[in-house]
Amino acid sequence: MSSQTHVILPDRTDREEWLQRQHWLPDWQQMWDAAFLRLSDAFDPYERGEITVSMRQGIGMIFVLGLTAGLLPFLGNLWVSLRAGTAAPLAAAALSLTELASAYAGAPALNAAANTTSLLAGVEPRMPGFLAALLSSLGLWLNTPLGWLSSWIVYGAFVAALARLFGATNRLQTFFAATSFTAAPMLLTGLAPIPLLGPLAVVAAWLWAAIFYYQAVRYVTRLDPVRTLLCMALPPAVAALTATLFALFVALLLLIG
Amino acid sequence: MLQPRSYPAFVAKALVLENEPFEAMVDDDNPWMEGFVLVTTVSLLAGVAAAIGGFLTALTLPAPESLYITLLQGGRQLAATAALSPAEVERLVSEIWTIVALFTGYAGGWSHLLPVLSLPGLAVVWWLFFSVLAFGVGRAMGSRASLNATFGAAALIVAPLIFFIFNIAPFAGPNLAPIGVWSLLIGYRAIQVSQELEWRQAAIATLIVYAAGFLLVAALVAAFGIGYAAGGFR
Repeated sequence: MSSQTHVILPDRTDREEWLQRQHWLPDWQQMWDAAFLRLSDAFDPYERGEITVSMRQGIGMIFVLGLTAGLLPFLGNLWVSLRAGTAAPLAAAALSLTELASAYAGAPALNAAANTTSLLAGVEPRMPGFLAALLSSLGLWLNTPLGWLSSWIVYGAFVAALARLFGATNRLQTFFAATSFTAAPMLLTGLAPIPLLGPLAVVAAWLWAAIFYYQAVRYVTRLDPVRTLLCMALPPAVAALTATLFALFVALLLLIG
Repeated sequence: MLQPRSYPAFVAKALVLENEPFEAMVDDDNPWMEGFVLVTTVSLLAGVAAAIGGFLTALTLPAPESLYITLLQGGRQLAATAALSPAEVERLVSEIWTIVALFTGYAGGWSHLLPVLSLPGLAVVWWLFFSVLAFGVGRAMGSRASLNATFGAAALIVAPLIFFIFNIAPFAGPNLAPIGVWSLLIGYRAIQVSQELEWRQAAIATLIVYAAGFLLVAALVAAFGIGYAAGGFR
C-alpha cells in the first residue's frame, strides 16, 4: 500500500505518526527536482497548491545528505589517521601544516607549528591507535550534517526575520522546509578531497546552492528580487562588518596597551 | 500528571516549531513540575552524552603529560622564531592548558563528569530566567497568561540540547550558535502560544529576554575576567 494514502487501516496505526520514515525524509524525486531548480515539484509534488514538505522532513534530508557528502572526507580522514595511528584531527593537522611549511619554507613560525603538530601526532594515544583513528574519524563525519543543520537554522533565522520585516507573511516552518532543499546541491561538496576536481565541485556547489536558496526564498516569501537579495546578503554583510569592527577594536586596544 | 513518555515526541515537535507540544504543556495540570522534569531529563541526557564523549575524546589523544610537554617545547620553539620571551610563552601555554584541561576534562579525574552537573544546572537556570522574564515582558504587553503556563511552554527551549547526543562520538557535536538560535526560535513560539501574543509582540518579547540574558552573561564573564586578572583562580 502506498505510504501517501489517506486510508488508515487498523493494523497500520501501530507506530506514532512522528516516528514514521516518510515524516523525516522527502522522496528522492523531490530532492532531484530541487537540485534541478524545479521548485514546485520539490515543494508540492501532489499539486495541492501549497508547500506540503515539512520542516521535519527538512531536518532528516539535511542529515542524510550531509552524511552522504561526508562519506569521502570520512574515508580520507580514516586513511590518514589509520596510517599515523592517531586521532584524525591530529593526523590531519600535522599533514596540512607540514605541507604548508614545505610550501612556505621561509616562515619559521609555520615550521615550528608543523614540528609541534607532527610531534603530537607521533605520540601514542591512550586507546589503541586504530580505535582512536576510527572513532575520531566517525566523530568528524558526524560533524558534516551537524554543520549543515547549524548553517540552515542560524542563517535561515536571520533571513526569515528580515523577510518578515520586508513584508513576507509565510510561516517559519514553511520557510525552513523550503530552504532545507539547499542540501541537495551542497551534496557536491562531498567531492572536495578529489584533487583538481574537488575545489571546482565545491565552488559549483556553493554557487548552485546560492541560486537555489534565492529561488526558494522568493518562492516562499513572494518578495521581489531586490528584497530577496537584501534578505540573503545582509546577514553575512553585518557579520563581516561586526567581525572587522571587533578586530579593529582589539588591535586598537593592543596598540594602546 | 507527569508524562515522560511523551517527551521524545514533545522534543521532536518543538524542534520543528509545531504548536502541539506548547499547547500540551500549557494545558498540563502542573506545567511548572512538568517543565522542570522535562528540562532536567533532556539536559541530563545531553550532559551524560557529553561526559561520555569527553572521556572517549581524551582516550583518543596522547597522555596529558606528554601533550603538555610537547606543547611547551613547541611554545619555546615558536618564541625563538618570533623573538618572544620563552618564559612569557610558557606562562601563556600553561594558563591556556589549565583552563582547557579543566573544562574539557582532558586532565582526567572528576572533571570528566562536569557536564553531567553543569548542563542540567545551566539549563534549569536559563529556563527559570527565560520563563520569569518572558512572563514579565508578556504582562507588560497586555498578556493575561499565568506564570505557571509560561514555565510549562518555555521548558521546550531545551529541546535543541538533544543534539548533544552526538557528543558521545569523539570530536563530534554541535556548536553553541545553532543551539542558541534554535532555542530562540522555540522560545519565540513558547511565548506566542503561552502568552497568546501576536507575532510581532512575541518576537520583541523573545529578543528582550535574550538581550537581558546576553548582558547578564557578559557581566559575569567580565567579572570572571577581572577576578582572574587580579590573581584569583591561580
